[in-house]
Amino acid sequence: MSTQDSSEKKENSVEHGAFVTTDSFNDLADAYSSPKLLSVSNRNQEVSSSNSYDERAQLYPEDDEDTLYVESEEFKREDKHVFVLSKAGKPVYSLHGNEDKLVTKMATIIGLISVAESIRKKDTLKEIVAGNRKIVFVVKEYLVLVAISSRGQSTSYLNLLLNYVHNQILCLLTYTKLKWKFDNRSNFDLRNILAGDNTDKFFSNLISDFDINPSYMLCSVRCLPVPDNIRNSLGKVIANAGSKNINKIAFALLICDNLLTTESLVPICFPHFDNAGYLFAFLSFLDANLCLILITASDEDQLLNMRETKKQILEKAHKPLSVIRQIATERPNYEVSAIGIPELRHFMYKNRMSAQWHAPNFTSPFSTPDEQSKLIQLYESVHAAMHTPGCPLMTFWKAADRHNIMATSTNEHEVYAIFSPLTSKAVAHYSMQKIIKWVKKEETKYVIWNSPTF
Amino acid sequence: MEPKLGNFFIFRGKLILDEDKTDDKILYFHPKSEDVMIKSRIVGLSEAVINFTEDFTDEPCQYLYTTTTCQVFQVVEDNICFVMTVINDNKKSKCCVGLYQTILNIAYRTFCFFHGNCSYILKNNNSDYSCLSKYLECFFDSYLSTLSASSFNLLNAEGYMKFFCLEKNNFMRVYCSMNRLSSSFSDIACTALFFNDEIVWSGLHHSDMRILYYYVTKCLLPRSRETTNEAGTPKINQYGKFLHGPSDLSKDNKPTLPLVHICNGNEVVKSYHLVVYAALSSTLCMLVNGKTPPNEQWFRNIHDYLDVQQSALATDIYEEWISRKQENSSSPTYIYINGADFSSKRSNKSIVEPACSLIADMHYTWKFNESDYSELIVQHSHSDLWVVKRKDYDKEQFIVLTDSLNFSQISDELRNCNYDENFSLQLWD
Repeated sequence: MSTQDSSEKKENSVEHGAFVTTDSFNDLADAYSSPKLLSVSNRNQEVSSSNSYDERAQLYPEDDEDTLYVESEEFKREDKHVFVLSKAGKPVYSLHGNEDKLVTKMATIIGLISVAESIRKKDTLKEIVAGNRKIVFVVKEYLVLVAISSRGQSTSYLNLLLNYVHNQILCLLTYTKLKWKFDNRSNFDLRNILAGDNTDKFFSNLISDFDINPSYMLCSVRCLPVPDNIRNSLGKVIANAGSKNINKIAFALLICDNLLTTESLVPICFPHFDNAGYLFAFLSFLDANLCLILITASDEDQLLNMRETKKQILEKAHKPLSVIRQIATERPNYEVSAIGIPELRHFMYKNRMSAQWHAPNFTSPFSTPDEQSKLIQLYESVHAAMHTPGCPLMTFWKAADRHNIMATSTNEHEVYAIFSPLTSKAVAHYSMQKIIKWVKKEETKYVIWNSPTF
Repeated sequence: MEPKLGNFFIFRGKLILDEDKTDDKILYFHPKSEDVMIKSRIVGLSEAVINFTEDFTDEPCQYLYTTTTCQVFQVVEDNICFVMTVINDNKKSKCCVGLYQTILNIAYRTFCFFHGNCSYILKNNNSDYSCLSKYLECFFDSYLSTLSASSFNLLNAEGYMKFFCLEKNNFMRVYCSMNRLSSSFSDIACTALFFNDEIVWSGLHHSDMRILYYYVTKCLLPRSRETTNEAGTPKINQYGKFLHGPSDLSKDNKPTLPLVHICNGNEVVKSYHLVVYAALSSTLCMLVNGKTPPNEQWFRNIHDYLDVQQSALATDIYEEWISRKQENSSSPTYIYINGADFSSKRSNKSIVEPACSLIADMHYTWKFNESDYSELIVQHSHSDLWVVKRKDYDKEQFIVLTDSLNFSQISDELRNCNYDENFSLQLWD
């Protein structure tokens, strides 16, 4: 079930309470008169033997859909699960299903963790593997996060995902608030201060983005390719306008995305910057694609000040912005053929100094979303091998049926490249050098080097 | 500190619903000194983990990591679960779950080899679990003592057999003499010949041979070496002696022979008496048919037949072994592993870290989505160490190169090396 579906389903259940479709009312009468209706105590047995969600909906019409779903085979076989719960076992979030119905599973998780800790001191449950299912636990001071995946991702990748989810919570609440709430009452229900379905969407989007966006595993960002001079002149304008602002702007970002929203000032906590307090982000969409973000430490009269700053930026940076608008609409990116190596199918380049990465467009054989997702997984497995804890690698080569893959890592960069399966090691070696040479030449366009300061 | 055995236990899952009867649930627990409370928590956690994973998959739970331990599971038959915990307090040394799974599996299979499987024991003892428990205790108390710290070392390649492939004339001599032995003594069902801890000839299926190999090289031979050393050099005229059989043929005492069980899946198919005869560096295992063990006369006949013949064979094998050893000294560092017949071969040069843990990762840990890759080459950061893995179905070959080379030179180097892929013995059934 996609994220969107699950959130829609939740909305339904919120509006209608125990949500029953009209069809089920007919089945309800049938079920009550049939001997299939079992008592609650032995119901679980029956549930595990029946496979279809619909079948069980007919069997136990007194249950609402959410309960049936979390006990169903569909739930069991979901590709990926993420659970967040408090140390007292109170559910906070579940990727699939209504977390209220997962109380038993969450209690089991807390039980497993505390028994493991009681057997050996300072021992924490880290990982369980059953077949192709991997269950990873991250135990934080107040929260426990669990990821269950059958996508073959590495443990470190799932750990990273859970840490991002945790940071997302801190981003919304700050560590100070979390500490205060849980120190006062250990069985506090965190959902009381999270904004329900709205924040669930943040988590769900983050989790699904993890599967398709290499930025997370590379710990770096991707920039819109803009000519150097355009970027610099816009940077100067923003820096200039920002320093005139009375309340001092700490950071300014111009991001390109396809979300549309109105102008707003949002409190936001950056856990790695300062997990105790909020900064204030002024979000303003310049058009359908471009969003200007100005971040400041104080919220006094900010909305007005920020509007003023934005106005100045729009006036003075008219020329570079129009170029950037054009680029944001067209989204030009290079093709892998630009490198001039026929055997090369795709590559990913990370500049370690600036923590930025870029890659060519997906072309054949990676034209379908399914192929692209598989490619990201392939990159992930090689990335994990390159960064094996305690034994990092400098060079990696794998010759396989579908692709040959090579990766190199130096202090300056990491390059991951996919070749056709008959590519020789000599050609691959030469290609890696050629990629690096090409990237160096084009770097100013794809990587932000000089960030002006306020 | 190297990883070491934390605990090893066997319990009945699911069948006992009454929580109070935890003692009946635990069939075996090592170490015995463990606190009762902790013991039941450890078993309880394993059971809870197995149940928890069932909520998310139908596949059996395989292993569990905590900060300092690694626990491997194997549900064997009728919900009997074998669990082994390895403790690794040192963050620098690596836990290798694939290796521990192999060790656990061999432990179970070795138990079955000598006692029959659990359901076979239960069937013969009116389904009395306390009886099964006694069998397990009797076996594993001594078995676990053979698991030393080095067993948990990544490169000991536990569970893989070493074959010594003779050149064809010597091999034919061995083959003929084994055939002649079987035809002269019709109750000998099967034979296997070892030279030191390498297999020269085997008539057993490789999955059973693997267990016999483990037993002979890890338990029987080390024990016999100890006793030989104590007794001083053996008498010149008597080369051969029984390791399982009468210790002194002049006396009429009936030896106790181990009974071994060949299992097919979960069923014990056939049982044999195991007779082991050693001459110089060679060891001959014979699986003998019969409801009762062979009599004294049979042993005398076997000794008369084998004494001179096997010693002569051992001398010839030794000569080939020595000349082969000298030849190999210039070849690069390598390991071959054949997953199809559990055989392995390695160069005489020792493999050190980090090559060791890289090989372990390449062999056990890295499961790439595309399983059918043929070649993997990695270079360790901050050193000139390269490890190459070549793969052809179940055959794996690891080559360690430590010269200062770049990637394209590596491929030249590999092209120049003509590696011997014929390291597995062809088993003639």
